[in-house]
Amino acid sequence: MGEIKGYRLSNELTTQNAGFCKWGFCTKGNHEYFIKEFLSPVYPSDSSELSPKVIERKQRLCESFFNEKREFYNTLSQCRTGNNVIIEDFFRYGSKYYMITDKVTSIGTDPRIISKLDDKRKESLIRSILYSVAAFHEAGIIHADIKPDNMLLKETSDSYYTAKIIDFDSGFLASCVPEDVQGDFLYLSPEVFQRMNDTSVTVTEKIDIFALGILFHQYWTGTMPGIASDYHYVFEAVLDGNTPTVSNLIPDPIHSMIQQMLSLNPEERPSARILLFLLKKEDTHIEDTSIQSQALQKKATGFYVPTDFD
Amino acid sequence: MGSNISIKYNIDIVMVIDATGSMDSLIGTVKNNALTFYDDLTASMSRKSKHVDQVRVRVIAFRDYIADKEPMLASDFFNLPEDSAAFEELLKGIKADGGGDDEEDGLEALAYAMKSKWNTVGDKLRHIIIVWSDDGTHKLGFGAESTNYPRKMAKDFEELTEWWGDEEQEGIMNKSAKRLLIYAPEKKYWSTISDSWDQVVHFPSEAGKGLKSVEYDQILDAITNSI
Repeated sequence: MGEIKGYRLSNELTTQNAGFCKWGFCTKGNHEYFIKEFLSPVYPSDSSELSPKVIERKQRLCESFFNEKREFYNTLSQCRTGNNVIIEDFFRYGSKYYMITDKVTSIGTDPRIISKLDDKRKESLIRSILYSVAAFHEAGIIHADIKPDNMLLKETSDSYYTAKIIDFDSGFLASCVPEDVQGDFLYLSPEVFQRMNDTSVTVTEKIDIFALGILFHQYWTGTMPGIASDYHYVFEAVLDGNTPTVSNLIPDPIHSMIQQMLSLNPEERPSARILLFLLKKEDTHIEDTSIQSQALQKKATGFYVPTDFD
Repeated sequence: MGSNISIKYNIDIVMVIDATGSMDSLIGTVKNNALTFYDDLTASMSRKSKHVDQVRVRVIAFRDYIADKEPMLASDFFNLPEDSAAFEELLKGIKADGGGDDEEDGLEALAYAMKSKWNTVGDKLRHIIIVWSDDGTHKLGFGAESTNYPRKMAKDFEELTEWWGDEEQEGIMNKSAKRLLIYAPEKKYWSTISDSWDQVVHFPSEAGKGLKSVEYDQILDAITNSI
């Protein structure tokens, strides 16, 4: 196997389960990592037979990509909730760009693993995911590709479950929304679909909330929210003015939360922080002591934990 | 309410096949994969609860303008599964033959593929070119003295690169729909393309080793996971 900037590849990079990108595992020192090769942009080599003018243009695009990604990853690295994957390295090697993260040991990504658990454990997992999502949303980061494949499930020592959120490569900063926002159709929000045909349509972090609504339904029941057979995807039904059916197997407040998360109007979808607060805080696995959470507690109960003298 | 909004996902695939003599052992596998492609793709999509509205496939078989009487053969797009029988007949007609020297005129075939009449209708489009070859390519224009050589061909690798385009330079293909998969050795110009064009996945192969089933599965994965 080869070596890329000191990272020794454990296997050939593959596109398996990944669409159009290559990935694999590698080691450096005694540590195992995940490595991803970006398909775009490509830094032209001197042997590319291109003129200096074309090489200069492509190199400029590469530098712009590198600077934007670096800013994004720096912002992401500030959201250390314990459940967001941290970018350990990002670099160009030859003509390609690579991203390195820790290799995460996971029991899988299949929502049916979770749907078989008791309600307390399901709720605990949902709370831990909301905690992570709230942290990166408040940092201005939109993931834009929330789906089971990007939630690496882990079992804790006391048989509870958490999820490591991976693959932020469709993601962007809320302050810098790209023209071309993509996503998995199964978890796509109505406004992302609308933006495909009209770039003036605004997208916000609420696209992640819509995807989470579908994901949480799967975690609870093992199935997608109900839609008429005329539709292939949830967003199609919602865009058409239909309300997806949330299973009666899901108790409140999760049931009503999912209904709100699947609203057509993004503003009617609660934020991750509000959703987190709506869940009871009896579970001790996740401690949410952020300033934002305390402010929300104040709104809901009238009391909050003071952090400073007013 | 009730207008039945339904996203239309249309896939066009151009299969660019090296049909020179050295491909004899490999071409059968490529043809068999092409024949079962529609069923395999829809099964792969179905496993992921995804849906495709239209699949069209076109074939370009290439050899060598200087050495061969039939250096370049191209078909129209076939709608699958409706045109499956005609598509099968077309594939049967591809024989591994000729080729002359080691390199072939693969860049000219790629240029033809890029100039395909791609589908422009649909909410989500995917335009994929898949190249299978067991050797490198000539420089563009190597066979220009042949009477069959196309007059409007890109004059050099740089012009072909501009046809492909990038984030700033509008190419001749749809920027967000285009993808190129190359199953060929790490030889010029396949490796040059891999090292200077975006949206390209190059699976380096060794001559005579054939097409691994895992690589065929990766084509299906790439298409299924790209929506």
